[in-house]
Amino acid sequence: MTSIWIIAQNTFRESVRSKVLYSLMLFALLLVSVSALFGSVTIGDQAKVVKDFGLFSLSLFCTFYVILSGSLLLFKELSRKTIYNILSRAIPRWKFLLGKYVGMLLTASVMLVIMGLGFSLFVLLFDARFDWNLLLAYYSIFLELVIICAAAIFFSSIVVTPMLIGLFTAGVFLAGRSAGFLLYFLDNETLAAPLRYLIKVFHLLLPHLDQLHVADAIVYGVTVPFEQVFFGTVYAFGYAGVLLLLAHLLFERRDFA
Amino acid sequence: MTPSSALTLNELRFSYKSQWTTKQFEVLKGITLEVGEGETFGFLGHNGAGKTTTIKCVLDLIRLTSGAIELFGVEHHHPQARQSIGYLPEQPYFYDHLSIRELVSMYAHLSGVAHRDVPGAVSTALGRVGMEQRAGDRMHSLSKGLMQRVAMAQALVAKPKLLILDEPFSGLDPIGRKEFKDLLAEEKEKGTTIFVSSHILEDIEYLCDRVSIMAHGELKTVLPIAALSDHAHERFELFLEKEEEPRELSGAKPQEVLQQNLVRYVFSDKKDAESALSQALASSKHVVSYGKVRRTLEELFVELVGGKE
Repeated sequence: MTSIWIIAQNTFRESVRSKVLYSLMLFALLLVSVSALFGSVTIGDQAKVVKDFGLFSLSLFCTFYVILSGSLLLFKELSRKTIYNILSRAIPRWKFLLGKYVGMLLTASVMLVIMGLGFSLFVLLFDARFDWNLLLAYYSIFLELVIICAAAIFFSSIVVTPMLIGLFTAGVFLAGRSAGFLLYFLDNETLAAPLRYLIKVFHLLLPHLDQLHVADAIVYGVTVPFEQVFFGTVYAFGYAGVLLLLAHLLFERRDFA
Repeated sequence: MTPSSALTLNELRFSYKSQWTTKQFEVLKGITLEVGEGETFGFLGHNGAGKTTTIKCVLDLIRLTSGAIELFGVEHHHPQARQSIGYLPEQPYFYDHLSIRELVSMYAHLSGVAHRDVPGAVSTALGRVGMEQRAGDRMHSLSKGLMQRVAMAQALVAKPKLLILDEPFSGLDPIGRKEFKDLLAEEKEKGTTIFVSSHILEDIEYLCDRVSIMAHGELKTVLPIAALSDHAHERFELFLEKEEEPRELSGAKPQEVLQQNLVRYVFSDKKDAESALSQALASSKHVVSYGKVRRTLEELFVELVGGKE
């Protein structure tokens, strides 16, 4: 457990000292500020527009960070050969992977907490009260990150090109957010049975990020049932666990020539 | 394997397939080797001979095609087999944004040094490589030579029983080289087993008890350094004053000594050497010196790898 934490700590330290993280946070805060402008030209509840746009920005930038750092995480270790010095010690490879995962998730979570705190204070300007429900929205973004980080690690363990790792991870995010749309095809009787079966399998395999995403409900004041949050948590960690297990099986066979 | 064996390689083979064809490339062709506890072992070979691949196999960074490796009697796949290893990679590179102290502390933790002992172990290791004053510097600010010093510190930090060093003298200035040689001599004195791969044969000759020479994935020879003084490795040198057109003497070709007005003849057979000396004296050539010399590791190396370096 110690070695996992040490590797995670190192990954976190490296990330928070790089300029990329701060640039992304700055962009996200700029985008959130822009939401105030949209709010002012919208008919209706300005706070809702600000919340909607702000939560979208937070989710987008945190995911973007994970895609960016995830695609380079193992690539950099391999190209700079820093991995040799870690794996030459009494560290099983799975601990290295898990440490990298925890470090990346920790960085993305800290980024989410800082931006979330800033955003909650920003919303206070429009809502005149602290919206505690926003915390639930942040938590749902965190659950998404749990899966996206695992997807980045999974693709890093099989693909060596950062561009491809990034594209695949982004693909998982987009497909996961749109997983619900596949159900429309399942209900379509005109499609051939094998094709519908294929869509069903695909739907099962994709991470159901759409089910985890509760930002819309929170913006429009719809109560999110506790069961949804609970099962969402179990699902996110379970899905990430399976991805990490697969990553471990692939990484275990890899040669570092 | 003897009970006091630190590292045992048994019929190590490693080959890989080309990415686009079915062609197999055999990198290691049955390496068998044993390094005793406390021994300093030089692992030599030309570029591409398979030295680094062998080291990577030992560290389980590359999976063997066949064969077996044991570290202190433990099969090398088990992480605990690597518990007592300190490794210095060729052209080391570390995490840019960490300070030297943070980096070496991280490796100390990963090597199993108890939490409370880490600061002391890090200071000692950095002190030994002359980097304690710069412990707060970030890694990206270091030159190649200083990076090499940090690499040595991280290899030593957990007081390993076996040091595996891949080109440890690379990038060091003469003072650094001397300091590293002294440091390794200290480790040797303490009983640490040292497995070192280097191109600087002079240093290997100074440090090692035994050397192996590898060429094209095969082990050509394993011999104690002391054996270089043996009868089998002795040779005779005759130096004459340079003439207009120096000729062969007893089958030995003349070798011009650069920047000096001398010609050198080398004989592996004493009779040939004595006959050449008689010829030289008889033809009133000016003999500058004659004597028996010990063969250097470099000469043996060139002879065994066919001059391909």
